[in-house]
Amino acid sequence: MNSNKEINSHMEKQDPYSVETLFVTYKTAIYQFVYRYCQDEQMSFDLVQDTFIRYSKYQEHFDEKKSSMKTYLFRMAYQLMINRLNKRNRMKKLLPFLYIQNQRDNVSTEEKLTVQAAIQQLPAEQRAVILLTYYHDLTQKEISEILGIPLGTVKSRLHASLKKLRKMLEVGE
Amino acid sequence: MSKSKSEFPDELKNKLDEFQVRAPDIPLKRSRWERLANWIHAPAKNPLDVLRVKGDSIIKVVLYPSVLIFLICLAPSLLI
Repeated sequence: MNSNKEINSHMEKQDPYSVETLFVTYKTAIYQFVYRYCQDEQMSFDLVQDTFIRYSKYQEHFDEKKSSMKTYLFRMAYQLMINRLNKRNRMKKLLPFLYIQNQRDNVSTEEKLTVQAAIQQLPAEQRAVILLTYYHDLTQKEISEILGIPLGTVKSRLHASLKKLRKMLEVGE
Repeated sequence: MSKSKSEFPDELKNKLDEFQVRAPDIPLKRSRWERLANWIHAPAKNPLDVLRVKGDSIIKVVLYPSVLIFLICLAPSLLI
């Protein structure tokens, strides 16, 4: 009985797609992506856990011929984050007094923006492209899979967001 | 380095590198109680801000309860 348990645990250790193995490999990257996007510690913490809970439910849907594990998990995290943010925005409209306005929204135009504030001020669809390109070193094809948008849209969003970021951070060509 | 990343000017890369994020120790399993506790303890707006009551606005502090009592007394007559 005990030896069976040992064999099972050994096999789980060997499985590169086990939830535990993937959690150790990708939790930091997913946390960093979500945190840089929404700049909310608690939400980022919860979303990392939710991503792997969702993965454990749907892991049989993963097809390594279609996408890499990194792309698959980032796509799950992104979808969960967008759903959560939409829900929060609906709640904000109903109960505005429960939410503190993000103080970074009030930065004066004369003041030089910090990189965090500049990223937060980018339109949502451009922000994701910048973050995935720069901090996670993903290709444009992988980004298009994660965000569920055409490759051409990724290119145009990257171009537009780079232009905006350079302007906001007062960076030259 | 991906081809797209090379499109970033060096000065912008330096700026973006300033945004470092340190991930906390995250357990794989979530606890509903912990989440509820975090939600309850999350910072929220002061409800008195909605009424524009500040530390020195004594008149408002005195007036608002009286207005509330008046409205409660008036409510039955409005409902009939």
